[in-house]
Amino acid sequence: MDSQHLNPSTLKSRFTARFLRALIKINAQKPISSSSPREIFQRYRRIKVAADKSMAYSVRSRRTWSRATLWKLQSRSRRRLASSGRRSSIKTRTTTTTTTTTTSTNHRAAIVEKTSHEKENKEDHVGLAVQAEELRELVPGGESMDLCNLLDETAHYIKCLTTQVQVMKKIANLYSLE
Amino acid sequence: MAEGLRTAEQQWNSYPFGIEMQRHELNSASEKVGNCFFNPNWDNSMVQSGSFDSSLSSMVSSSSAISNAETVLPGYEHNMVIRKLIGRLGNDYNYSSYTSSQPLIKSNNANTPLNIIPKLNLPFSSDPGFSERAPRFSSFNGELGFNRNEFQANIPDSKRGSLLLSENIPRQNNVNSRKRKSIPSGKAEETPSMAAADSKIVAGAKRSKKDRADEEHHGNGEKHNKVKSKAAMAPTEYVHVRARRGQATDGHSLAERVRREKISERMKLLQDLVPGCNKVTGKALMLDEIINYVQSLQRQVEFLSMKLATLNPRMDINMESIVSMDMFRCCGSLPSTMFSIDSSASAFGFGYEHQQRVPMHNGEYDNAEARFFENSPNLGLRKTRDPIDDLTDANSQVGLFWDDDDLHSIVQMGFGQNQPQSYQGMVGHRSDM
Repeated sequence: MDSQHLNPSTLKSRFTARFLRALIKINAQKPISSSSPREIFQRYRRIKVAADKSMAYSVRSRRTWSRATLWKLQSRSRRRLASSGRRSSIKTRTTTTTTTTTTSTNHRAAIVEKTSHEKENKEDHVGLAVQAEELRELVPGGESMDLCNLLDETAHYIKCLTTQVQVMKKIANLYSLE
Repeated sequence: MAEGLRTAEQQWNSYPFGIEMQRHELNSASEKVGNCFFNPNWDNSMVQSGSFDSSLSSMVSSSSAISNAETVLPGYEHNMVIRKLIGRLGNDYNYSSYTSSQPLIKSNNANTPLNIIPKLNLPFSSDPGFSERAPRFSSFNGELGFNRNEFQANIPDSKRGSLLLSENIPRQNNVNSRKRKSIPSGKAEETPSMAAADSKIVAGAKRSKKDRADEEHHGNGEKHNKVKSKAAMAPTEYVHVRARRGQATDGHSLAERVRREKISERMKLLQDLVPGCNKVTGKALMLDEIINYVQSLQRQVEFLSMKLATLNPRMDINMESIVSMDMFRCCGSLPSTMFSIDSSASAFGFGYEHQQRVPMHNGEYDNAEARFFENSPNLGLRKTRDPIDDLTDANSQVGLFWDDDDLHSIVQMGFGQNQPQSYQGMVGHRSDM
């Protein structure tokens, strides 16, 4: 466990580093002592987004769910920036998002084609269709995957979620100890 | 190549029992067995395929040798010879077909077995049922693994060793019989016919009894993992899937079977990941468990981020050092005690004196954490928590996630004087979130 933490290349350490940096940035924005519940709720949203984002970035684009998460986040931020009119930020982000978007859209297109081809083979899994749909909703990017890949993604997603929860628990512990 | 196969199929289908037509051409003369390979009627350039060439030449030579050597029961011998030859051809065909994702790699390879078979069936004049079976093979969509099984069954052990497919039979049988369970109705009609064909073909073979027993089992449409153990199993593991005895062998069924195996493999992996899944059997229940677990993990992340939003590390400078590895080491060294610390810490947030708790816990801390404790004044801690009374619900609910019974007792102790009813309020509050 210790060696795992000290190893800078594990998922856990990558996520931890990123998340902590994001957390520090968020906390630096406003002092929490004077926060209203609304602000706290905003901060909560930001922290949640930061957690998901750091985890997705730690996984890079190796997994469909991470790609889908990053794509969602970036499209959302792009929309927000577009509405607020900060053009310069949009430009910088668009360049990064286009690459991700194209890869994700290509990937999605490929997946959808493959899924439609395999849809006729799904009749023997009729009993699992309901759960498969639920799982697809839970796992980001799972809408366009057949059951086989979906289970693969779910396994990796569970692993990353557990890491996330562990690290966040420990951080929360440390916070509360102060 | 697909169209090439279809033409072959049409050819095949065009003479359902029309193999009779060619019977006159090829009598039971042994030489004809060899001749049929070079029958100019074949419009498919079979001989272009190198693998087929070698196999055919070997087959021709062996067949002529065999037929010359043996005299009695010409029909039966020819049956054996032909079956062996077909088996060899089917081997090549199968190999080539399976090494690619499609059932047919080359039109050459694809068509030739189908073309060979009607002509090779001719010597089976003593086997009347065989001609009936021949057209059925056309429905294979190019897959001849099933054929291989039947033919293999008829060949005596001595010859079996020379056939490459012998090792595959047990696997094939497993796959076939397993596939039988969920064959859709459309294919179910096909398989009983094949099973019937099986039984007929097998009738002439030495092992007819055992085969028939197997065939009956398969013919019943039941799932039987009957392995044809007679095969000289030199288990060369093939990456590709083989058609099994008594089951449909078209590309769709095979792909389906592969898919199902992959899915069950992944379900097993997931079973290891999700705690408490060992007792659950069946895909549906497993998936339910998985869904619940993923949902709970996602909710945990939400609540932890809410908690982090409410807790402010007043010592941001110390957070910088947290990013370094020191903190990680500390984190790693305190597994379960952290939970109890945290629960008591959250109890602090509810307006409790935590001074008395500090010395209790100090001994368990590493230097880094003791540093935090000294640095944070008691008042500062309170200030950060007081305005968050309405969010205590979330905090206390985070405590619920920790399964430690000690935790619960501590948490309840901390919350006991505050709002016992807050637990119910939490549920409501949580649903709002």
